[in-house]
Amino acid sequence: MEDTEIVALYWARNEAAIPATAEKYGPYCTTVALRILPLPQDAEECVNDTWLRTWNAVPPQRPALLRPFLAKITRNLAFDRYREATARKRGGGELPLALEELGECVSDRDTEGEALAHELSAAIDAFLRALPRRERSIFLRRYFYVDSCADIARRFGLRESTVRVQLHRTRAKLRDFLREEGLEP
Amino acid sequence: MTRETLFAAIGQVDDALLEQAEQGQKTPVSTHLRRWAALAAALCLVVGLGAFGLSQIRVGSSAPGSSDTASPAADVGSFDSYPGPILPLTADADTGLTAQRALTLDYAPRARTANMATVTDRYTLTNPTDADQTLLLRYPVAASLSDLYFHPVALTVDGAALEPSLAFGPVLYDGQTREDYLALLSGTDFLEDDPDLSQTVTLWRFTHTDYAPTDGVAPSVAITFHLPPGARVQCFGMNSYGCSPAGDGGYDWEFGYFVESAAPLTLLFYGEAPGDYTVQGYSNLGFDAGTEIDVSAQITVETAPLGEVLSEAVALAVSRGIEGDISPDDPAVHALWQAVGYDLLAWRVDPEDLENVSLDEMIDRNWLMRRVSLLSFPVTVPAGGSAEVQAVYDKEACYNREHSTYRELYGFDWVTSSDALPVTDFSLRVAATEPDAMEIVRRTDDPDAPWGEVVFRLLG
Repeated sequence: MEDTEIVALYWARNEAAIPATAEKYGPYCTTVALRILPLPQDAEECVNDTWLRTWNAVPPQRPALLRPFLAKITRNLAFDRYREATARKRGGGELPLALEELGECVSDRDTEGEALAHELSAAIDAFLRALPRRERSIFLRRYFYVDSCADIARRFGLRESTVRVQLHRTRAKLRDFLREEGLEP
Repeated sequence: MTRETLFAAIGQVDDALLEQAEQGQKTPVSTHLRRWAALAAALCLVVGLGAFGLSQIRVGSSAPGSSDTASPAADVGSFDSYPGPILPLTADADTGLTAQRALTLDYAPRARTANMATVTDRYTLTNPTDADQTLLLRYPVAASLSDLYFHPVALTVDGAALEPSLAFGPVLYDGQTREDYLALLSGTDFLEDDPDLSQTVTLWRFTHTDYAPTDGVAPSVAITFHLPPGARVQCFGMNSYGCSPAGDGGYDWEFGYFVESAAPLTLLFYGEAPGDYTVQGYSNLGFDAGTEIDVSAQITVETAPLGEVLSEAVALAVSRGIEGDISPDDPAVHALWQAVGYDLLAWRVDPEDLENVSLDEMIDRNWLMRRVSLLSFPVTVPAGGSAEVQAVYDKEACYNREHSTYRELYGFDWVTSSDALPVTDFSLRVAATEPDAMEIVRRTDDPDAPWGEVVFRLLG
């Protein structure tokens, strides 16, 4: 089923939209969730929540690209679950490593007068648009999808060390950008 | 802001940029090259084996939906993720035996989440001579050592479980084709003996780093020192590293780590450790002038055999993100220790290629990158009789994660026969433990083909 047909089902409030979405994007969303939640049962619950969240969001939204729309919902729900889990005990998987790397870009302190979330997101968006396409995609594979460096290397036909060096440079650029924009002290 | 805030903000990036990141592949032309490379490999194999006219491939399926060979589905050579073919049982020399092979791919519910099928690869070996034959057989597997740990191959002979020895080949850096795996299989670079790691190394372990809390910093530590020509150093757990040539032919080194890093932090010196060094704190890992902060770090110096140090590092590296302890006696973990050991013995400092300065990366590469490994075991086939050899394991399918028209498709391919153990009768069964779980959209059934493939769609 084409994405436009699936979205049309949501707009018609036809409950067939959910199994149609699950059939087409179930494995994909599970993969996204598993990057952040190493336990399959957590990932499965997260993906089920994704279908419910999508049902509640469409309408009013009408996503032009359904796959990234679902990826964002899944990823953000998975991160919420991850934070709940790590509040109880330390989590595993690739995410702690990715978060530690992102710590290079920020002070990692809660500070007063932080930018509103949407301002920060807009700034990140602008920063990413200014990057060369491959550099941007490598950054997003690591810090949006939480792919391992080995997986990214395979995807782009690079050596793993090249990926790590590229990410290190992009993080340095982001650190400088956030400071120039006044988003970091 | 916190790293979690930044991570959450990245989660709101524009959909179009995400779609681009999904498409971030190697140049599209490589898809076509891969197909031709696979065909070329197949032709070479026919020449090499000579007797493929004897091979027969029967394709059958218990899954709903019959074969549709007219479907324009992609072949396994053009999938975005290609984990390598199912390889055939082989031996070091011509055995004089023949084999009937029955290959089953089963989609068990527990494995479907990870796009994996259970492979059952069964051989009935026949000894037409009037003397018993005892052979050393080798079952090749295209997989990473990590795959072999989490999805071990269960080998049996006439129903009795085996404990085969494991020999591993070199990692496959950019392998995307069946030809790449066959080239490794035909090579002689398989290792199974322990490297000599008895040499003593000096360790600096960094513990109890303290710093004066300051707003707006991500405190980091830089360690700098000079090593004379020929001296080597590696790090484990460090967040940055680099070196620059010094006037005496040696190198000036710099290593760095986040104060709050949870990883064990170690430097390994091969030969004499430096007498002088500096430790300086910075507000972040950029180590820029003007960002210095006060830190203190406790450094514990000890010496130990390299083999013991590597055992500790392997256990720590492999257990990251895994609940419970890693079994150090597992054949895959021991092979990892061996593989990294050989890399350590061969490694020399190259300022243009610092990848191996990080022991973590050396371990990760050997653990996660795919290669061909051989599981070896002796088998006696009685005169005029037969023996049944069976391998059962979970294997990842070829799949598309991307923009492909065929993103819902999955696939497997296999090489039918080896020259040392010719397969005279081959059958394939594609099954799904769950009814209506999959439908086959394309499969090869050319009896003269040295390899075959099946492409399918998962349902429900």
